[in-house]
Amino acid sequence: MLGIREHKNHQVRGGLQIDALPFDDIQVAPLPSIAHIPIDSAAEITVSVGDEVLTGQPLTHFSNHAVTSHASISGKIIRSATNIVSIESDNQDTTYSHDHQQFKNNYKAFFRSMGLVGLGGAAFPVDKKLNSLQATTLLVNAAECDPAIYCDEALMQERPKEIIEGIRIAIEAIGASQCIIGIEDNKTKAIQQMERNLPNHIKMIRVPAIYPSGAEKTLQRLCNGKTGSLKDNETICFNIATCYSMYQSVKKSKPLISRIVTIVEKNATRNLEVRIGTPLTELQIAHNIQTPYSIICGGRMMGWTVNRDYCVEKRTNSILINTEVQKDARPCIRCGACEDVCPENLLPQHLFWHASTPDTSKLQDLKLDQCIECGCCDAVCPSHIPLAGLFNDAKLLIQQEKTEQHKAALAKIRYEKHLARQKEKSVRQRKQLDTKTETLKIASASEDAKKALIAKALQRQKSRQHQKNKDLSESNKKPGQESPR
Amino acid sequence: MNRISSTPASVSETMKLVLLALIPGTLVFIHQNGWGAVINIVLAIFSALVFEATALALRKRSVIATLSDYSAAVTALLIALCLPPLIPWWITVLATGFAILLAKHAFGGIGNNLFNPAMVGYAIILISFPAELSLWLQQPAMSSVSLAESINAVFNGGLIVIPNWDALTGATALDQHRTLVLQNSPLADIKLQTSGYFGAIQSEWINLTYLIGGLWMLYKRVINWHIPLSFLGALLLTMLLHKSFSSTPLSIQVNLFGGATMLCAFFISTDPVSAATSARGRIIYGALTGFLVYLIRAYGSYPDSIAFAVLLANCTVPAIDRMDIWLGRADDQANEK
Repeated sequence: MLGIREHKNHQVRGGLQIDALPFDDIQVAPLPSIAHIPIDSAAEITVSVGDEVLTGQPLTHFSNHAVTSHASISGKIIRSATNIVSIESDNQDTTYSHDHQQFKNNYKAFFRSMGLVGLGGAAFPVDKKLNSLQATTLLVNAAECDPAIYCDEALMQERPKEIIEGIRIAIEAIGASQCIIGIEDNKTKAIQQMERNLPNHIKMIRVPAIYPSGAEKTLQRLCNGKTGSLKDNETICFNIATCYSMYQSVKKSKPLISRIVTIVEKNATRNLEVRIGTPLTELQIAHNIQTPYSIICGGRMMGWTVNRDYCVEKRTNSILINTEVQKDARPCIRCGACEDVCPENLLPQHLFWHASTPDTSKLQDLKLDQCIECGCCDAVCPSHIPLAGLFNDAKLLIQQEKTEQHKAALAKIRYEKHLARQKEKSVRQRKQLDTKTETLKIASASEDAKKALIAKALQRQKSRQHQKNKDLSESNKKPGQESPR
Repeated sequence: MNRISSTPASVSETMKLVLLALIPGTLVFIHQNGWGAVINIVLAIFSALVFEATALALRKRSVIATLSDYSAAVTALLIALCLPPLIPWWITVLATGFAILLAKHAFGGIGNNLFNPAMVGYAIILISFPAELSLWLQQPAMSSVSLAESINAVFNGGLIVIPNWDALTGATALDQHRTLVLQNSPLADIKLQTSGYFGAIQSEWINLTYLIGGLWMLYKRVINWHIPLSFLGALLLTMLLHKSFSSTPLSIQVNLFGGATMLCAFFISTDPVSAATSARGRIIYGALTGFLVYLIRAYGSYPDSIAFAVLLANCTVPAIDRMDIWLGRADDQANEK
């Protein structure tokens, strides 16, 4: 289906050169008869079953912790669970009108209320990205994150003006002083279209079309190699489709209710504009898939298998019908093919060895945390070992171990405090005991001393009694004082 | 996904390509050594497959799936290409047995063997039966031994069943070259007796075909350039160094295109499992092998040194792998500064 070549290039280390497929223009998918809208687990749902909603109507309360979800079609709510709301279409597609007065000049809140998340694939909330640091540079990711995804390229070819408008909004929202667009050099038509509309202050940098150029870290490194002006903690990266959705929300007051999805089938590659929540069955793709075939969401290299009742989410950048049968893994022969293609300059063969034990300290020594799980090593492994998956598991294991270590450290501190308290208590008790024995000794020594002690004790008793009476009279007074109320 | 001029798609694909690359060398080997070579090759491959299947069955692994990776066949062919023709059949079988059972499966099968299986098998029989392994047929004599005679010899005690057998045999060019050099024979004499057109007499042709096969494997991305280049480079450098101070240096031509030099450079030391695994490590590993090959050839007492050099280098692989990680970390730190 696609040609994969191991890449040798001076600018980039590792990576795979993968042939691009011809793809169709963006088509608008027909309105679904039902939409299952995923809801942020921290959000509070405002609608209930039976309610009529309009297209674009918020389904959750505006909050500081959750991105608002919107109805992507108009119709009746037929199900409302904690993380999903299902809407049955009335085929009217009547649009809800938004009121944005409260969000004037507050981009973060506005984007959150419009449901904006990163559309590159990770679906990281846009407002959180804006929050996270004091950025001076906007890096626009116009390199596709996966070789089998063409939604961004199609968008650039067909709607460059809107995208650039969106980039302007993003620059304003960040307050960035410079903006760089990183684009893969094989997207000639998209580059042409973009350059025609590009204002002077936005630079476009062509990066080699070698997977994983579109990974945020890699793209930043590539662009930095050409300009030297991208600092790690001063750069915010937005996907091109995210910028487009910013344009849609600001200029058209349209929340994020649809996205472009690349659909790769055996004979055709299409780009569909799909409403969020559309089930795959409505897109006329998943109905005739047989068992050796699987549906992969999120790209060929880094995607995950989904089943037939999957619904399009905000992060769904592609749906791929996989016609290849997964081959059984064989033992590693230490050939080092994985090392040659690793874009992060890691040693996957050693990582694999330690991940199968698993030896977490060795894995950390070998910089497992730098692995971006691009899957290049999987693609070239002659033994068909699912390396990226194993590395993901190992990362989770390390994470788990760290949490446990943290817990253990806390418990240790608690225990040490407990020990100190106990020690203090025993010292105190010993002291009391000592004084007691001391007095007893004195008492047994002479008659006078005994008398003095008794007198002292009586004195104590008396003063205690006195105190008690005083307390009692004060407490009797209180109700009397309060009575006028 | 299909690949264009990329690394082979699977382990079996790799091994198949290695076998293909060995075909020209094998044909020259058969041409030079006659029916005895054919019998060796068939016997080695057959016995290796039987051993592999037995070991897999005993270890409760899928026999068909693993046999189909062709690695046992490659091991067997490499052993057969090292054996002199008309050697008793049981020596060949012993060699493949040690290679497959001891060097490979006792360590956990493909991917886990510390030592190159073919070289373990060969080294064990070389130490055990040095006399049998030095009986190479002289070039013109080979055509006089018929298939029937060859079979009879191989299955009935070896070369000695053939009349006038000692008149048919002779030392290999490399071996003779060293003997003559150590005897301080006149240079012209040595050259006449051991040098061919560009390398060692007789074995230059087989080395040339191995070189061609190896270059084809490089083109096909079956092997990386690191090991062959560092191996040949280190071999050449050591020879030049030796020449600069020694009164009895070996001929560079005879060493490069003699013995099993090219077989080792492209087919034996490039075995990924027993070689160092990273690019930097492979360069160190290849250079070490090349250095050892010449050292043993110049100062050792065996006719050729490939097996011992490769096995010694195999011993250092865990250390090289570790050193490589350490060097990589030092590199990173230097870059950060």
